[in-house]
Amino acid sequence: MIRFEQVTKSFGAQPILNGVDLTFPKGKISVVIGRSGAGKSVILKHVMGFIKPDNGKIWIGGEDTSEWDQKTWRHNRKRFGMLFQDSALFDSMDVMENVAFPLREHTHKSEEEIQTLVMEKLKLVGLVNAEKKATTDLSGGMRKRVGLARAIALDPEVVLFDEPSSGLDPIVTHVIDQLILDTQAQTGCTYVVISHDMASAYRIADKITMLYEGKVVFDDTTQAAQNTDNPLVRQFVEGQLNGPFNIYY
Amino acid sequence: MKRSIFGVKAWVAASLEGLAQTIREQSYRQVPESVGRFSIHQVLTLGRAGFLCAAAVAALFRPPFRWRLFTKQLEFIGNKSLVVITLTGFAVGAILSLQLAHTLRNFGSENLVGGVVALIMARELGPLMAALMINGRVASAIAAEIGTMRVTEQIDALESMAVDPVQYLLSPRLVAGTLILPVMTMIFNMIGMIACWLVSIVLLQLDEGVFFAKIDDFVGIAEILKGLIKSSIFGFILAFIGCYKGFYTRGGAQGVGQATTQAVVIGSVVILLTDYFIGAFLL
Ligand SMILES: Nc1ncnc2c1ncn2[C@@H]1O[C@H](COP(=O)(O)OP(=O)(O)OP(=O)(O)O)[C@@H](O)[C@H]1O
Ligand SMILES: [Mg+2]
Repeated sequence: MIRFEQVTKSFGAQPILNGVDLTFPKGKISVVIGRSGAGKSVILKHVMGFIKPDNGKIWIGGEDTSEWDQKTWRHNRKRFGMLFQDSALFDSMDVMENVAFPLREHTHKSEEEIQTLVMEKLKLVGLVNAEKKATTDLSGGMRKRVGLARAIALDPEVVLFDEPSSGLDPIVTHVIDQLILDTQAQTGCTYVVISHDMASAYRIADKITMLYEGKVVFDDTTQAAQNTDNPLVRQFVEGQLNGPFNIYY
Repeated sequence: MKRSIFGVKAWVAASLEGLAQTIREQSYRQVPESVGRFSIHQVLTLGRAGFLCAAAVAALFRPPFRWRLFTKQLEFIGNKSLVVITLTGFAVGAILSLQLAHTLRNFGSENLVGGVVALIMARELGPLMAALMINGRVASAIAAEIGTMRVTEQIDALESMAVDPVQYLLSPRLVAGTLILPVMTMIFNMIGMIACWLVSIVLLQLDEGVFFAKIDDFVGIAEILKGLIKSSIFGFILAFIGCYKGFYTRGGAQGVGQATTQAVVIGSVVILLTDYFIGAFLL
């Protein structure tokens, strides 16, 4: 389980997180929603330890991460996988090498086993016949899927997805949603998904958290989210201009 | 004439007025402050660079040992610099020999050309020129590559897969730079001496026996070694400055551009300064 306790973070004078309390329960799919710039990616980077909170604590598996040193972080990250918002593929490697990278780093598998595993993962994300392509020759959606394959290559216990389906066509979005649901059901891992797409959020989420002006304004089950009369959530879900959202901040 | 005197007067008056205003507003008080802030910034930068350097060197001594990355960097820094090293080595050797021969002829000692050129190349010009040429090519490329990885979150991606980016990216480049620069310097010197031979023997028809005897006289193994040690120091410096600038790049494509230019400029300055201090105090 991952728990944020009164986490605050500012960049310069700009406060981004302002006392965030939330939990990502073990073995569940949590979806984080919130407008662009609300600090969703910043939350994931806190979980990975790339950004340290100004105040407050982040608990991972019952441990206080403020007491972790670099080495402990690295050790724990082996159990994590992350899909970056802009994919962050290694452009010095082709598709195959990107997905194989974590396997080569952290397992002692033979080259054949690695090849088989990579092809398996690529097939899962719906990418076949692209393994020899340079990452710079891929479309945005293809990059996303390579990133996804790389993030789940080691079958990690915790996977963080930063907008896995933005920039994908509706059919592939559906494929990815199904993939997230299936792999999660198979492995029982903890998934955290950032999404703008409410239809997809409702499909996959066990739990939905909404972030607004540095605070958590909604944090409940998917069903509760569908039935809530919280005006912020309603406005976000329905994408309306009029409502409590401060559009110009 | 009159007008120009009037101009000077106006200028003096304006300067005095500016000075008076500075004193009135006490804005001179900011001078020590900004000097202080500047120095603190420099000290912090040096500290950060020192830590990064120490981390990169320390990472060499713990597994995994990344041979493949190391050989790739050897190839990139060394092999790909061969053309530029050959061309400049030849040019420097030829130009130096020609100029020296003309000067030495005034003293009737043009036979010394081979020895003098060999000495200058081994001790000074070989290490320095090779380092500066490779710095232009390599420090910028390293800064651009690592800087792009930084701004496109590829370095975070390495971290997310529990890979130490310092060990993965910096250490192999530092070792490769340190080891390959002496080799490049030797090549530079060899080509330079071939050029020297062509100019002295083929072009100016000097005595070949004396030519080689003087080289033997002037340049001992110690001189060559000193030059090679120096060049490996330069190799470390240029690789590290490229890495440092790349690793702390901020601000997208523009940031990468700045890091690239700065790496080359700072690299050249630091190499020249180091060369001076090594020459003055150590070797
Ligand atoms: N390293 C950083 N330095 C300075 N500011 C940052 C940094 N990272 C994020 N920010 C700022 O934090 C705010 C939130 O950024 P974040 O990337 O988390 O948004 P987001 O919720 O993921 O938005 P989107 O849906 O558009 O991806 C932004 O205003 C951004 O400018
Ligand atoms: Mg984001």
